[in-house]
Amino acid sequence: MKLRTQVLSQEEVELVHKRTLELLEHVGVCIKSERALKVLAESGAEVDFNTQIVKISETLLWKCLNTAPKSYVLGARNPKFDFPMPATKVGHILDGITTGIIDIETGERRPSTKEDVFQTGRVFQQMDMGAVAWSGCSALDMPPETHSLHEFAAILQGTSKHIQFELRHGGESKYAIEILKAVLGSEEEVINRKIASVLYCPISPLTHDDSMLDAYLELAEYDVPVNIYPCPIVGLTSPASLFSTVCLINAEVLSGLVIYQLVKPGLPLMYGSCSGTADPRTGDYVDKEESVLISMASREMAKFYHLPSVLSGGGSSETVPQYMIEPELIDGIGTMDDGMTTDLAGLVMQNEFCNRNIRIAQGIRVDEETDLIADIIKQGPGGGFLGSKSTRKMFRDNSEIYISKHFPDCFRHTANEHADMRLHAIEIVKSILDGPVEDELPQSVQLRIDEICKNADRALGKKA
Amino acid sequence: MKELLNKMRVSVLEGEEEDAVALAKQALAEKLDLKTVMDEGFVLGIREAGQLYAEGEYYLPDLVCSADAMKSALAILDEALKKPASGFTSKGKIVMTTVQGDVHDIGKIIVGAMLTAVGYEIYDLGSDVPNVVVLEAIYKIKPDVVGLSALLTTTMVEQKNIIEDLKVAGTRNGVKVIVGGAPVTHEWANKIGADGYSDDAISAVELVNRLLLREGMKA
Repeated sequence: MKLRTQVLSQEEVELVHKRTLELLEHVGVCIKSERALKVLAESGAEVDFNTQIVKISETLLWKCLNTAPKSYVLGARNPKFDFPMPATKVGHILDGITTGIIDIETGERRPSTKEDVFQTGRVFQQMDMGAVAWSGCSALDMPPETHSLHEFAAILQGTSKHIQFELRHGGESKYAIEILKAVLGSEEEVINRKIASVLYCPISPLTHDDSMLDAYLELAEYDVPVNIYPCPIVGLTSPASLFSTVCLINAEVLSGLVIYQLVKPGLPLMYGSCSGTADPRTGDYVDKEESVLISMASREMAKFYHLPSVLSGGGSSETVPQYMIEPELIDGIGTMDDGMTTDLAGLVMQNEFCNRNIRIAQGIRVDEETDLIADIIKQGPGGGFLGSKSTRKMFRDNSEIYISKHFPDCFRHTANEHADMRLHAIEIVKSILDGPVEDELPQSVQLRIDEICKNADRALGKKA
Repeated sequence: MKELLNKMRVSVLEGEEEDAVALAKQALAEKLDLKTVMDEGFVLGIREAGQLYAEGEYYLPDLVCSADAMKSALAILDEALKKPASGFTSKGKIVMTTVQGDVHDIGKIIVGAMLTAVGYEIYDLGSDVPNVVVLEAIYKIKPDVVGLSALLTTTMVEQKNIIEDLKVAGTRNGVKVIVGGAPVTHEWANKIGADGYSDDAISAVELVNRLLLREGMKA
């Protein structure tokens, strides 16, 4: 059977829900978007326009939970990468958005550019664990007011997998839709294919900022899915308790869900969870053991509401338990320095660790194929299995015997395992970047995207 | 008096805000010498907290509680301390803010706590503060240092805008500008003409000390 685990009992799941209702009904959430406040007031929520505090009743919450889709498909430019929600197999999200990149030639960190975003997309394209490409690194060479849009444009050209992007303000939304229309040909296709979703981060504790929310409420008209992704830091922006942080995340996701469902009933949403723990000395965000457990509990809450889930923190051995709780997507591959530096060689290595984690979570399969007692009988005491047909077959079946495509087993358990892997990963990255661009967009579409970005620079960029 | 001063020291050291407030009120009511109250009471407590933090005994939450107790005591004594007769001076005035469009202010609060712990006077403007409000505060408070925090790649640009606005207003040379926040780097700080950058609260204190010492200021 597959390895499965549980971090909350049914009673504890219900207690999280109960505590969440206490927060939503009695404390409320601060929502800074005027548009959202109006919609909530019209829908019967208790809205104080002065303090921007909104109290949400259980009735309103369930009404909105009922309209949120339980299944949909995150489309991709190349339909072979379409990712169904709920998923049958966990996929990974490219981490971001960093301000620097490890230069593949020099090994040194440097500020990232739009070209780096494009190249990051190309490497991510070749990672078998990669399902959704967040924008990766920042296009710091572009105007500050529009660099998010440039990042979206660049990653969309670098990979034909599903894109998840961020916008900073409502002014950028129409340009993002223009870019999608340029790629897909029509507004209808933008709505139907859903090749891009957005990453929405409430501000812990219990706050929804206006600029990002307003931008995404405009995109909601085009059915652009939203990953509601609270990022509390335990001991800093959430209480120093895992249970209470789970409750806080739940309240932030559900209040976000209410806003989006009231503005656009049926808008596809993801239940996200990205916590960290405060470094007791510096207060810095640290992704560590607590995050794994909080993510797992959040997955259980998502399941309680029948929502697809996105958890942070893949690509390392301590995150194995997250794979055992079967989320749809796991974020966190491709960066270092707590998400501030893109590392393409690291991305290749983490892709490998993701494969290993998935293999462990798949557990032990017991069926006709794996019941090879007949082979043991045939060989008898002192025999061997290297020449058995079953061995040949199983060595080709990664769900039984995992054999890496990129990293031979001789890399394992040596004194220089990680250093050797890294050198090998650098060569893999170089060979990808030296090769052709997979699923390259037609020249005319690329030119149209460039034109849209330039128009945005002119309209939105102060110094442009 | 000695016992009372020790209670003041302990109230800050242990981060007991209510005790610190009550003791500060008592100091005013009994018309105690405020320089002694500060130097031999509350300030000793915050210095000791800072020392324990430096030695690894105190964690950040301990230090923040001590800084909060200190700030609350100072708020009670504020008016009286401003009178020259009090004889009390801080190490320097620092205006801190999270730039407009950005509501993330935890990092800035931590830096503020650390600076309070070493004796600076902090004016925290909050988060998502319009640039014009920051400029007004700089004009009114006349700080030695202004700290601009930004967590988002999309709001970093406001650090640059504020520095440019200070230049336009002709007040850039009168204040040191330091920048911080997760996406901020040395390169960015240099590019926008900031006086300094730090990537954590500990180095922010070292940075401020260094900048003010270099200028022959009070640090």
